[in-house]
Amino acid sequence: MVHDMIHTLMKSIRDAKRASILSPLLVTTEALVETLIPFLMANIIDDGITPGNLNYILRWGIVLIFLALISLGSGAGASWFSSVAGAKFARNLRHDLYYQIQDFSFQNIDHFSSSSLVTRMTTDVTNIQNAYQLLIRVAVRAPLMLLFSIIMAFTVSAKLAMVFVVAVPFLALGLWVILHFARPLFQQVFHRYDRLNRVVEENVRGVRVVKTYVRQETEISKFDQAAQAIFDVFSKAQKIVALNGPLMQLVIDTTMIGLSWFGAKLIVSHQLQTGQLVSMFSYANAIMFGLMMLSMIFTQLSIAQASAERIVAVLSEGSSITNPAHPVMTVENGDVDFNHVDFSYTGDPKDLQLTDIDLHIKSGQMVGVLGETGSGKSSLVQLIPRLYDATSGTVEVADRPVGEYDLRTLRDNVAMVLQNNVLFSGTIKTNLRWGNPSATDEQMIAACKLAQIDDFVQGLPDGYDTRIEQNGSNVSGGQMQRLCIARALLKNPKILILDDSTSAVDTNTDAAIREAFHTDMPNVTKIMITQRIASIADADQIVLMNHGRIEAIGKHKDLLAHNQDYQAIYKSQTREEDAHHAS
Amino acid sequence: MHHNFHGDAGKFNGKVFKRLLKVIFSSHRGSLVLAILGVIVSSFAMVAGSVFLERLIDDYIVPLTKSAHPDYGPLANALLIMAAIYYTGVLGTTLYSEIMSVVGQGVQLRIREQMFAHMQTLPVSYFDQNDYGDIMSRYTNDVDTLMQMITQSLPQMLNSLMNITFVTIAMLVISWQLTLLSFVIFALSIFIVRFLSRRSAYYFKAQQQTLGDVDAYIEEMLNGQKVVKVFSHEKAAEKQFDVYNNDLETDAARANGFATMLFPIMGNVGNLLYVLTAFVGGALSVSHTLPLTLGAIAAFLQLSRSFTQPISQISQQLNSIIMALAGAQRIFELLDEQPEIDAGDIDLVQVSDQNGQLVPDDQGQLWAWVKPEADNQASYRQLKGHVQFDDVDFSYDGKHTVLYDVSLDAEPGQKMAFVGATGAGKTTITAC
Repeated sequence: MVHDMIHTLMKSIRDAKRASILSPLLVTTEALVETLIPFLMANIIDDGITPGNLNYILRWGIVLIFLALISLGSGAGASWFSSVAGAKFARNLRHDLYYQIQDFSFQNIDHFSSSSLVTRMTTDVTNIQNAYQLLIRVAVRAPLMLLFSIIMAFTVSAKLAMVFVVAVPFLALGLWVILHFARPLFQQVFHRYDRLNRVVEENVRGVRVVKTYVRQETEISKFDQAAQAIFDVFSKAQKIVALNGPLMQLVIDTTMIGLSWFGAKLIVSHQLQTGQLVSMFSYANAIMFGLMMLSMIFTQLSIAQASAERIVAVLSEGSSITNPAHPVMTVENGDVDFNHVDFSYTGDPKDLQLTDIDLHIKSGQMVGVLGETGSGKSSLVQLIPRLYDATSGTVEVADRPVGEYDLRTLRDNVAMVLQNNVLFSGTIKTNLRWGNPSATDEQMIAACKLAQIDDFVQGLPDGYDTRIEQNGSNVSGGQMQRLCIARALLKNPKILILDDSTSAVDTNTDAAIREAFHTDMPNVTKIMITQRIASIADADQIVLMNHGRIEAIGKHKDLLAHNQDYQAIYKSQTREEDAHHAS
Repeated sequence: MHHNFHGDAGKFNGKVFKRLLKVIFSSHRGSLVLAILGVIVSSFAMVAGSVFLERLIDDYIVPLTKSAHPDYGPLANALLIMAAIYYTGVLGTTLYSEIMSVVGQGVQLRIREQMFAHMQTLPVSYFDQNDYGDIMSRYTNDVDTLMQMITQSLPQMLNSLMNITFVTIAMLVISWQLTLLSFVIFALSIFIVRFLSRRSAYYFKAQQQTLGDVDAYIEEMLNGQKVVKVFSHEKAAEKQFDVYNNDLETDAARANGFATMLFPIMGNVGNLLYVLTAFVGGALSVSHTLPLTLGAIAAFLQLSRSFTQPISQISQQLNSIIMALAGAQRIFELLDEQPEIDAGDIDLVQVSDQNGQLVPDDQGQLWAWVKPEADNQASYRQLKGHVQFDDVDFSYDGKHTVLYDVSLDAEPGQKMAFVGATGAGKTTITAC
């Protein structure tokens, strides 16, 4: 499993490959030269300084300065290339994630929430970037320094190196124990943070509720509990981790004393020279530091593992809707047919959102879809532009199953205004051009006139060049809905679907929009989901949905005469109307 | 959770730092004094260890090699003393590490509690004007980096400063000539550190900007992903994304590159100093220009290692302190936010009716508004639900007026309905 995960991630290395190879190569050079320096220093002390050989000192001194410069150059190079490789790898990961998400079907999008996708593309990718940088530099350097230093220590004096044989396992064990006890605590800390975040979130998002019900005291004690819970575990974990430094110091210091004692004895018995003892001090530092780095690398990589899993989950999610092998590239007309369609979001036939839908719509018809929330209205229309695939039965457009069309062709011909619609930051023009990238000003004005929003736009100081803020926060709900309709109209579709898209538009404007559709787009099939009977009273067909089934189809007059539910809705809405008129 | 920030994050904010120190010191004075003592002991022991090398070689090993019947007693004694000094140092390190992790956690807890309690007093308009994610990150990211700074950066910074001080003194005692050499290298290091951190700071700032662009773009597009699908807008969305993404890659590579380069460069400048010390010290001693013993050179070599290390550490710690201070400032901003002013002195209490007089009564069936009057007297008026608006103007942000001259009178028991288009102010009236 870990193997598959790494395999998937490695596909994103691509142009980061060169830097990813250079970094470990350079860092290996650095480690090699750096461990060589104390060894040569020992020689300078023992064969140059002690006997007073100035020539020797000069000769080897210059070699050493040269080596130190090589070490500096390769070390700096490794850092540079590891950063370049990390940045490129992160860029490729973001690219692959984003492109993958663009291929997602609605079903895939529902599976991952958009906020979780954002986190994966930002925080998780940054974690991987840091880990990757670590992996190709520090994670190569630390074990090499450890290995080279041990080899050199044994080369200098196998007898004295026995001090390390005792000290290293001691430090390794200590670091392991710290990690072992701290890790589960840190995991608990993360869980407790979730609770704290929840309390803050509830209070920030629901501040009006909290204030109205004077719940401040309760909320504060709830928060204090959550914060205290973090404190309890976190301080325990921190206290354990804080032992890392003292432990390291303890082992190094003890090693130094051991080296001094046994080193002195070896020197006296002429088995060791003073310079060699000095070099052993350097290797002691390098070895212990290497161990410490290894334990740090281990922790860092385990943090990154969770991020890697989240990223791979997105990358390996196959799109549930793909283009057919030999797609049909034109949509002949606006006929829509549902032939005994069942549909489930999960694909589970026991959990159907739509059951046995049989519905036939002719080009140019106006169809109203009515029903309670959750009755399956949106599910029904989303099958037409193939936002989801039917679980069984067929959905046809112009007498061909929707699955045979090229997706882009189908969606260009079936314009849909979603229930939760958004505008994007940019100008009104750039938003409208989503419908048709080459739309002329005249075409945009025409579409906006149809959607009854042209007057509003023309009245703005910057007209069609007015800036729209993120999420369209500077226009009202009704204005946004009409702009979204205009955007859909610019596609010049054969089928237009409005999913409750005039809910925030007042009744007069709503009627004007319908009137415009009727006179200016006679050949376009219009399917409107609505809560208001008044909006669809003059439709060619009205579909009344109930619990995922079609309860009745007919004209307003027929339904009003024969369907009790329809009568009930009609009555409740006319009463409301009357009440409105009365006030 | 943790961002790996390198490079200059901005300017050191002295005001915030002072206020922060006050917060830390106000509640942990005793333990902080102990911690500082621990740092001093720890760093003294470290330097004493390096200096001991001189005596080990000159006073013990060299005489021992010359004696026919070596007596290891004095060496054993000296090593025992050294062990005592070393382990006192270890105790010092343990002391300050443990204290600072407890202090860090304590400050974290207290600041969080203060923030939340204060947030509860803030008017609704605060929540309208501040982004949810932004408020959230003050509780998590900002408090976390602050805690990291207290447990790690502050003591390590002090430790590094103490090390440089002790090491410089020790080096001067051994040989001022070699110390001079170290100072030349020291100046070179400062120059390199400044150069690299300036470059990386420049690109980190750029990266912050491009990262913001990428984040905002991803957030907006993924929130509207269904619309993207409906309009087959995938290709265009990809193209724009690539532009932002590539910019981020360039800035990130340079920012990280310059920042991480600091460590191998400084480490190897240390190597260079090490080699130069041996080279110059050895040459001077052999040519009898300077009376340097073998032990002195060995000790100086050891000290020179501890001399360059703290410089890169200080520059690194300084950056994380600056980062943490930026977070602290955001925390203080929230704490300094003006609370909702509760200037009203009218309260709602339970009362009971005793012979036409309203009297406070915890078990009372009625509720009444109580208004304090002069001479500790209070007047009671029964709660009936009479609401009056008298020429009310209202604005959420103080700039754009939402309600103008609203006057209305809702008698108890009356039902009142608000009708109007979206944005007309229906909800706003009820919130008053």
